[in-house]
Amino acid sequence: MIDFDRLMSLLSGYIDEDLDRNICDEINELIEEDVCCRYMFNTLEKTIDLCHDIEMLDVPEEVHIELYRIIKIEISKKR
Amino acid sequence: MSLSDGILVKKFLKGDNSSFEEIVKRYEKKIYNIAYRIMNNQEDASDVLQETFIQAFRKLSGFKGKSEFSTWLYRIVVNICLMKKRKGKQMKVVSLDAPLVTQKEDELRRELPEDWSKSPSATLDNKELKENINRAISMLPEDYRTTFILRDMNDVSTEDTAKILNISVPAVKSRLHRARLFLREELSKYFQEHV
Repeated sequence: MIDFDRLMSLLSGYIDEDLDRNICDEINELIEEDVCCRYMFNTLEKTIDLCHDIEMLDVPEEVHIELYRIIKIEISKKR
Repeated sequence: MSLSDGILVKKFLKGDNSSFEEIVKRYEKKIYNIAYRIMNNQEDASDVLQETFIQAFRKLSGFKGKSEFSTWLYRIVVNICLMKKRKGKQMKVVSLDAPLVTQKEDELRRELPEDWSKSPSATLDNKELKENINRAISMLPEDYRTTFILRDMNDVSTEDTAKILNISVPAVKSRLHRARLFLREELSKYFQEHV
């Protein structure tokens, strides 16, 4: 039987679908039945989603221009 | 239809330099953002971006295609970042065994507030939350942060993350899990205090 502490150590694997079927079934039950476990699962999954969806910074224009200038120099050296 | 990375690399190796410019165009933003997240500042990220593509240009003839091109490129950017940090003596050594999350079951159960995952404020439209997420990511110890950036923010597989960081697959999983728990805890604090 999985207890709360063990659940804590397995949650990432559960979210990544990286656990054996039997363990997943046990965790499913636990999340269904125990409000604390459900809270942990929901908030961890939400944390991962939020971090994943955070937008990337644009490369500043001057950095972009300088990068292409340097690449062109590298290309001209190669010729 | 855009050409695969592999085709672009082959074309470049046959002398088509415009293929390399296409590669730069494809990865410039990703590399900049990985560097920014690891270095925690835009100036260093800009330097790392340039160094990464210069190294890639010079070393591409040695690319054997044993791994994905993106994995090869990410390895370059991560190595440059870590070298730069070592030079700047910003390197923090954190043991993987260090208890990043110290709360025990009783404590976690006692703190149980409402489930903030369903809160209307739990959205990236919430500027304050976004700032808190960025701050929390920057607070992660470097080993954990780098793993988290690759796996959860750039969708690099566990196996490729292990190759890039030169660590084992279990170590990637362990670092990732600890990083996620730390971030969850930080966001929970935000929701307890502000919402």
